[in-house]
Amino acid sequence: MDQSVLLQIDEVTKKFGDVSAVKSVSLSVKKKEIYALIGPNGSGKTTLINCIVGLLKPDHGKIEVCNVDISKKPQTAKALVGFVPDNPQNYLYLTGLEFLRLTGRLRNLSQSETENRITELSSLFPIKEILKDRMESYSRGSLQKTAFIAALIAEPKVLIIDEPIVGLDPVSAQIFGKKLKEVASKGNAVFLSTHSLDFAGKYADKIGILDLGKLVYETSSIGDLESLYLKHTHPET
Amino acid sequence: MISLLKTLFYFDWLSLKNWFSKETVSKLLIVLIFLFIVGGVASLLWVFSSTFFTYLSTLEPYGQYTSLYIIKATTLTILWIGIVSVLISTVTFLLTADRRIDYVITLPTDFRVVLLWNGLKSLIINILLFCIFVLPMALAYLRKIGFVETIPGIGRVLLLLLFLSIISNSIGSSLGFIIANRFKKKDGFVFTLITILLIVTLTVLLFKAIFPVQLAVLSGAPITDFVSLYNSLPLNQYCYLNTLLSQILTTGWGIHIFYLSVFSLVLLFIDIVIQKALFIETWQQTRINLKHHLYVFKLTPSSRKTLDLSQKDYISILRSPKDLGYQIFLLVLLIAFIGLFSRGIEVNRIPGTFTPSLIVFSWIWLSFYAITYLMRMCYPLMSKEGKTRWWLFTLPIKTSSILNSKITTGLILSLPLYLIAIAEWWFVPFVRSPLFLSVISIFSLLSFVVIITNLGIIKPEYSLADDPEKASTGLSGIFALTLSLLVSGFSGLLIFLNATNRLSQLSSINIFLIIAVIFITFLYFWAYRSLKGHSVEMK
Repeated sequence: MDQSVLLQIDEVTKKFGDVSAVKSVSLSVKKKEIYALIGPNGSGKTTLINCIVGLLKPDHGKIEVCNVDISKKPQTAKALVGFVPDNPQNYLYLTGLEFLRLTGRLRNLSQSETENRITELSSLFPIKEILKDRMESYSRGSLQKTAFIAALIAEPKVLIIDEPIVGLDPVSAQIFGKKLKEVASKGNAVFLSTHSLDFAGKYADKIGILDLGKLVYETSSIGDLESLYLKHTHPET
Repeated sequence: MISLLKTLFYFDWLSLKNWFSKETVSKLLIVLIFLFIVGGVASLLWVFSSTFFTYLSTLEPYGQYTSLYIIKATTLTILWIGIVSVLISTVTFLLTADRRIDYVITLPTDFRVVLLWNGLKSLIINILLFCIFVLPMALAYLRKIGFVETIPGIGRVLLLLLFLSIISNSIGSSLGFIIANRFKKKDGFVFTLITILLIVTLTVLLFKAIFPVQLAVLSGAPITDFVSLYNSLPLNQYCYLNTLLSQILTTGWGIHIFYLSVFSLVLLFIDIVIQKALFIETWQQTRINLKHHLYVFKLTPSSRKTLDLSQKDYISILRSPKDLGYQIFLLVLLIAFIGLFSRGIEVNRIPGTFTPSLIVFSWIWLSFYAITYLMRMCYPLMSKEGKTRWWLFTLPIKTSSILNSKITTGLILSLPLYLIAIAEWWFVPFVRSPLFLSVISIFSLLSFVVIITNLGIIKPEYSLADDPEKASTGLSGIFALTLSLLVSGFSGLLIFLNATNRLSQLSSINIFLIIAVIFITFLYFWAYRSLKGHSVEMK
């Protein structure tokens, strides 16, 4: 495998009963690249992401993170991945700070490393103060930001985000985008799924369009994304 | 107002119907098992009460006085348990965010209807609960005095149940509203601590009032001194409310009904005023997250991932009013029952030939409560991961770390049970070998923890993460319950064989350990395999 490829997906298929949610999808994300997967509701974006992070087992195909097969060495592969799900539900009775400390600890960081990372990352958004509160009082945006910090805490090689800006205010969305750029520029890869064509157009280096479980289009030259999206997902319009 | 109330009850009916629509057979089975257990407990109480009252009635006048004393003691105990249970359920209801109530409150409706809806449900549940304990005793007493078949006789029982429910509901709910309202304020923690201490103190006082020192003197007192000694007992001298309540059964209609009606109405009025004044503010406070009480239980990093994960679980439980309330209630109930049971046996001096049966009965009673507690606290440990399991299953940790963390949490949560078991065997007067019984009880309790926790991991109900009390109502829950009951029965058999000198202590422990270790190892690997499977199939 090309050493610059950090995430390799080969012929991945996932079925739920008779319904194929993902049909033979292949794609790769290289170092310093932000890959945005766009597609209508129910196109299989979340299913594909769940296969990548090890929450679902593909029926067919292979997923490798930095040449590590997630199904063969899940623990090693998971250590290389940071993940933010769509609408993250965190442990409501823990404080944000406790949740982040626990994540750092379980991702093999020392106490001082964890504290430094939390200080550094929590300064991204105006969230530092509320991290001391229990997450039961958090808004959707604050939960999203906390999950984002948790995903970045161990400096993952591959960052996977499902719907990164849902629930975020415009300023936070911009900070999010800039941080993704920064993460990628350090030699990592970012793979995200989004409904926001603006966000994808602004921050992604590569776009993939998923429709009915199939990767119908892939491009690195992002032009008029809206026409491109409509052409491949709603050809009748 | 009535139509809204009907709609709210209709919503309850719909949610009950929806709950039953999935895994209907197993849920019906659970209901039947529950009814069977409740019926069994009630029948046992009826047989005991009936035998006791009939036997005592032949010992006039001691018999009549003792019967009266038993009625008074039971009424007071039930009243106290009712108050504590309503108090805890009110506090947990008010401190736990409930989406259904949130929705109802945002509707353009009178919030007093919500209060009435909740109050009526609480009253009905209380009456049903009291039926199990009060009905057998009351019917047995009325049968003895020849009143049971008559309408006035049934009327007496229903009236007693109604007064008990209204009084306990009003006191418990008023106190619950005041405590819940203070809970998130500055002095909330101190206030809660004082309330807990007050409940414990009042429980001890109740215990002392029912079993005072004079009671031991009474059994040997000559007939001339008996009445004056009897009247000087705290239960007869100071517990005026209790005397009025028991008079419903013993004398029927009279001025005491009027006093009780006025008293109940005053309490009900106070309760309504308190609820009306505090409900909205208290409900809004569930969303306030003050920092001052966050540091009561702190999550501290440990040297092991298993312990870190386990800490997350039990701290979440300690911080959840719903879980903590249930834990406190069940443990208070268990301690109270063991206390009353041991003291009651001592006072009445049961002959030595019954000792083995009594020891087994004590064990079954303890294990019944322990299993109920563990099914509620340990079985849902995995189900409670619910929507947060995306985080758990994407961590670079071994499956065994997750499994071990759940078992560790189960063991930590079960710690009070071991202490209670040890206390039971060392304090109950008829036990000859408390060390042996403590050891075998601890091993059995450990087995319950591992069985129940592992079966909860094998088939978790992630969709019920917000309703952990319902997580164990599936087929796997029945299986866990049945296995635990089998272990309890097996331990009971070994205890009985030892108490009747047919099996040595060492052999009993060895037999239990060999079977338990084989069984638990098998369950552990089954849970491991299952967890490995569903950690990669999060749908």
